[in-house]
Amino acid sequence: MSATDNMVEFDRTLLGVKRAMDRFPMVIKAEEIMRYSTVLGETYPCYFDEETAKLAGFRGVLAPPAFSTALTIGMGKPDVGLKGVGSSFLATEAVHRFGSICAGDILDANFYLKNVYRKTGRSGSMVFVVWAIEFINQIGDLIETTEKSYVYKGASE
Amino acid sequence: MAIDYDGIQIGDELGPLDKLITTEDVRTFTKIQREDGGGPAFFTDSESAIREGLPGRIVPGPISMAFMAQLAVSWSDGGWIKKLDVIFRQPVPHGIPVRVSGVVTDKYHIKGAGHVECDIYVESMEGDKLVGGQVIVVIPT
Repeated sequence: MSATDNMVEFDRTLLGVKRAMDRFPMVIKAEEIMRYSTVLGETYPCYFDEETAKLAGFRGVLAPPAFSTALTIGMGKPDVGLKGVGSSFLATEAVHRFGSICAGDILDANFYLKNVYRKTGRSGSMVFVVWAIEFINQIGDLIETTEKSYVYKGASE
Repeated sequence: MAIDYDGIQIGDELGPLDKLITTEDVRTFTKIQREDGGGPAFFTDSESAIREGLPGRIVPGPISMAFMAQLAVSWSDGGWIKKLDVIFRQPVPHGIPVRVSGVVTDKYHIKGAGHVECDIYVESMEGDKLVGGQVIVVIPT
């Protein structure tokens, strides 16, 4: 069923319906944390050395704070039924952290459509589609929540 | 040892941290934890980027977010990032130096833990704000 909300027609049945994210559950690998950290020019020893990380109280090599955002690049998303739109681009992203991600963790991720709204600015009318993601680790702890809003230009009114 | 919470003043500056991301860096980054080669083509392929209306290949948003978190962690000397909230204002091109800097905007305690709010930006060397956001860092007290 589609509906018009804030003058945007989209598939309302998707709102709030959690679904598993592609590629999850995912085992977090130490070498991938190190690769991420190296590319970004990180130097904090807990990102590179298991012993140092464990001495600091972590379960394994520690992932830097924004690591999870790399795991959802190009995430598969259901079609929300917008009409007359082209590609979308990431407009905002907010990460709320409740715990740390370490090598050896098995992360699960669920996501759902949180909001769809229209905003008119200097560059015209744009539609924002907001997806919320929850990351849960192998012991069932909610580790992070993330909200990504994607902007679509030129959506039909 | 983390920064001294009591010594932090509103208006204190973070950074700057100067960064440059190459196309090869983006290729590596978009393959983190994935066997299938990464995200949208416009991150690494010029023609795809231009087809999407972009000026050229762009740096993925999570790289800018990582730089902002990196600045906050290094400034606080191991503080814990509780929240990172970012607005992508303009595309960040490959191979162009950018500057990451910030300023302390608030500080307070929650359940005995020192919290510090900072505004952080990724700017071009000409001073254009490409990415902006807010970070909340928890400082041991």
